[in-house]
Amino acid sequence: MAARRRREGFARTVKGLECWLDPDLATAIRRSAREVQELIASEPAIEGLTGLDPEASSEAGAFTELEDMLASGTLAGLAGLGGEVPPLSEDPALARLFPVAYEDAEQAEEYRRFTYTELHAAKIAGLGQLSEQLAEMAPDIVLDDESAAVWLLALNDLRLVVGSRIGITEDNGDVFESLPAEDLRALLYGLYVVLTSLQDSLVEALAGW
Amino acid sequence: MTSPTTERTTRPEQDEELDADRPWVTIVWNDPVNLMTYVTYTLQRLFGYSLEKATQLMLQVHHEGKAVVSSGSREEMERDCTRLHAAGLWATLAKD
Repeated sequence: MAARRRREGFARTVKGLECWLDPDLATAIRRSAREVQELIASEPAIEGLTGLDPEASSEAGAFTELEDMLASGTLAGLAGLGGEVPPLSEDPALARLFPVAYEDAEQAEEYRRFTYTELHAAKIAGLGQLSEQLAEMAPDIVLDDESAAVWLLALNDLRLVVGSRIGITEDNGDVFESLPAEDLRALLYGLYVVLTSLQDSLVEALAGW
Repeated sequence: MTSPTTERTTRPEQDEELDADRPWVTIVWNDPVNLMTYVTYTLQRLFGYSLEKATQLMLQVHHEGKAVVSSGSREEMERDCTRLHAAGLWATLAKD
């Protein structure tokens, strides 16, 4: 796990979870969210399913809605059961987003068959919501608790993919900081640091620590 | 102060029976990306753990590489595992 790296970020105010985000950063995050969405969708569980309408959600608890949908199979119902589940990805970033749950290969495959579709749809929907709300609101972001909970997971999924792409470890940040500024890995690391500080501030604002 | 469990005594056999009903565990593994604050918060949010317990489990994951975060039936553990995967934590389940 990584220790915090604080910059500015989210704070709870009377309006909700608030954050001012530099417009260029907002654009960069939106683009990366779309790219990761496409990456996940490149191994589709169901043809034609690109995400869920966040407006269609019920008044479930702010923090548990996606999990509730997963647990109840709601997403599977929307997607239609019996979709093709691709084999475990050779892309380490995708493999990290959809971890192997069992040591035993047969049990792992069975688990994957029953959970992949829902997990896949939930991650695409979360990244879609992050991307749309960034486009609507930036630079002045104000989220209710329900949206903040979705952002929290989507920011984490983004960090998992970017971190995996650049090969982040718990203590190799210095390596990226010493790269020339125009190096792609330095740019991705810059994005990773921004995502980290945003997510960390959102955790603290939500938890009220 | 009062405690609802003050006068309750359990025999060893009962404990074994309880264990027999909870034969599966969900394990969270350390990874270089997930923030310590986020892991703590996620364990609180998903399992209703106190900040103290969630922090203790997070630190166990961080220092020892893994920690058992819940136990129960196989179905319950599969559900826990899926919720952890939705949150981006690296979780597996196993028979205890």
